[in-house]
Amino acid sequence: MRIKELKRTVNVCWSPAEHYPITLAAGSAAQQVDASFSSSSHLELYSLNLEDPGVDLELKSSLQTQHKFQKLVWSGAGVIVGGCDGGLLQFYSADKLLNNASDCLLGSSTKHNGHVSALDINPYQKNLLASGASDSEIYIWDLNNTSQPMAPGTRNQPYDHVQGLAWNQQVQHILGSTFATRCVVWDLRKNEPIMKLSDSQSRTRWRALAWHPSVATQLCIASEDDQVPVIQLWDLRLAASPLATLEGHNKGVMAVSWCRQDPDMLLSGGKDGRVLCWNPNNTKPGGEILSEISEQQQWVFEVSWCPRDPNLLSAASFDQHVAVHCLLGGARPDVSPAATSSIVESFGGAASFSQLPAVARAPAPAAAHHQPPTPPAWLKRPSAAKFAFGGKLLTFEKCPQEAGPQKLVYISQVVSEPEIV
Amino acid sequence: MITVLNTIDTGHEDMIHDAELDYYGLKLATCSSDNSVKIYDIKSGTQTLAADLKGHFGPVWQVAWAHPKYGNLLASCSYDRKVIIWKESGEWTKLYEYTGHESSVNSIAWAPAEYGLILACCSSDGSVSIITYAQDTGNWEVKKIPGAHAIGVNSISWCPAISADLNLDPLSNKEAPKRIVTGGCDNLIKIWREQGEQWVEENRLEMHMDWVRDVAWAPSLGLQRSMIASCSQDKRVVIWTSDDNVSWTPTILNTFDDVVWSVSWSLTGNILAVSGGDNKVSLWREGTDGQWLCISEVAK
Repeated sequence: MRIKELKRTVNVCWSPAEHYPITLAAGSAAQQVDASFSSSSHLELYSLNLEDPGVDLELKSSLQTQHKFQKLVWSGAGVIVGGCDGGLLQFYSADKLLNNASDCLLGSSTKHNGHVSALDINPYQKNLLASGASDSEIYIWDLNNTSQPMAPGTRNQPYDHVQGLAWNQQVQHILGSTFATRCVVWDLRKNEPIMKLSDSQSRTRWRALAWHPSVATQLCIASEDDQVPVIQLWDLRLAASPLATLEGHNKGVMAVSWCRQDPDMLLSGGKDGRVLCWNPNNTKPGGEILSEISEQQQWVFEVSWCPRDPNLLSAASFDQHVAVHCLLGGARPDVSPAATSSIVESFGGAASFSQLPAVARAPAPAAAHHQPPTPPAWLKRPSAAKFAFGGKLLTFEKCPQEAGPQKLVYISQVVSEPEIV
Repeated sequence: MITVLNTIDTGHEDMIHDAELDYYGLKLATCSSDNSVKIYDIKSGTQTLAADLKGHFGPVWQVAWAHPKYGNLLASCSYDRKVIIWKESGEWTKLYEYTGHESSVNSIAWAPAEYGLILACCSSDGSVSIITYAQDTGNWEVKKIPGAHAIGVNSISWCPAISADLNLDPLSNKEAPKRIVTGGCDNLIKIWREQGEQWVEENRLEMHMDWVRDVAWAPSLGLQRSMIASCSQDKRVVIWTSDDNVSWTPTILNTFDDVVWSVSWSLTGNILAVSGGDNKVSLWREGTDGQWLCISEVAK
């Protein structure tokens, strides 16, 4: 269910899990025009504003910036990093932004060439940032000292744009990177690539990637090629071919996000405007779609689970639209009103091209409810203790996975005041 | 202090999510991710399966026994968006099915028996339903609180009838307003009061920094004070106290090592059982100085 939205073409990122309250950072997207054709750019912070039944997010702070953004990430170390055009990286203080201070910009670097469109924060060391740009350039930064970035190894040849970067979720010195034709996995301890994945069977064009939250050797890679709009699940131990291929998008897949609280849920967003939730661990042919979260008019270029609240996710699309959805809940039907493009309005609303070429659409699946068929892991209460009449206490508990499901319920007698009994 | 009397192998094929003893402690109801509800007869250390109720098409989150003056009634709520009220008359059958929620129904609670046969239900769709059995027509009437908590309600509990309004003479408390407390995914606790045909938000209690997993209004046996316990994903348990059911004061009982999933008051309202994601169960009691002390810890 769509609960909040923002009518801007922006790159967004969630505040990290340890940050309270949940905040969304939005930076004007590079290479996009907005209604006024203004070239000004802003970095803005929004609170979710869940108190308010309306769909508007609450603007907390806004900063005019020199450059638009290709990608934003928010580190648990309190730094918001923006990747911009021309090899520029900008480092902002999240706290100062929230306080509307004037000196938010901590520093910047132009070490890269081309636009910096791949960024990721190490899940174990919050001050470690990986960035990728043109010519196969990848740098690892220490956010405490951004003067001397290091390379994870010699640049991968042939030189190509770095489409995506993702740190392994289990092993902190492993970094995955995607180029159009290959996925390269780096070991920072050895300072070299340890694995190169490429699918010789199909003509995939890789863009985004995401590591399995709990299985160190598995990752999903998404193909933005319209002919091969698939997500593939790979295991580095069987690097000859993918374990599974998730087929559901009608056009290229632009973004993936794997839920850290439930590895059975993977989000994807594509050029067909759809946001899908998959169970990537179901290796049946074609994959298992758990839920169709939404359908936009235009390309969805970014999707992301909220790190703090797994029930929330964001999806950004090119029709000046960022939506915050909630996975469960169906009180409000998710019918996004055919938003009249404000770009058209600035041309005087000329009727001749009032219709944007809408994305090709497959017949909508007959899913009456968007709720996944099985509940997400975080909804399942594993244990409880409940009092009953006569000082009896009922308990049951979570068992280790290998022991199978817990079957036992204990009834105990509590004697708290023996002198009375 | 704690002695295990019975160990019941429920035979559920997936995780158990709730277990509750009936009023007399003779019947045990359990529910599970295997979509079933089971009822056991408990007698002096032995138990026999009395019923295996199949009617839900998703994990069953909670079961709740109605007061015995209404007969043997059990309510269950499930991820399949349904609430089922089961009745035993010879054998167990479905008495009523409530399908008014649009998402997982996470928690249910029967009102104090003095008010009649009333069940409160709360759902991931953010709303709360109060369904009342009308004796004269034999129908169930539904009142709804839409948008009670943004992005979902996790838990619900009734204010006991005896303490419903502490300023009123207990002998004439028939007129006392009904109250319920809910905990949600918006990290809030809300108190609702029935006012005419409506349920209105009377209070919102802010303290938790993550999902509120469980709330429990303490039974009150003549104490001039109301208490609510709440627990959260933020690993904390908070005790809320009030002298007038209007202004509430929080006390952090403890910050635990793991997510706290359930809080439960003893029937005398003086001991709180806390259960966490690390399988630890602890019992707490308020000392004379107002400090909460752990009087027992069970870790298996």
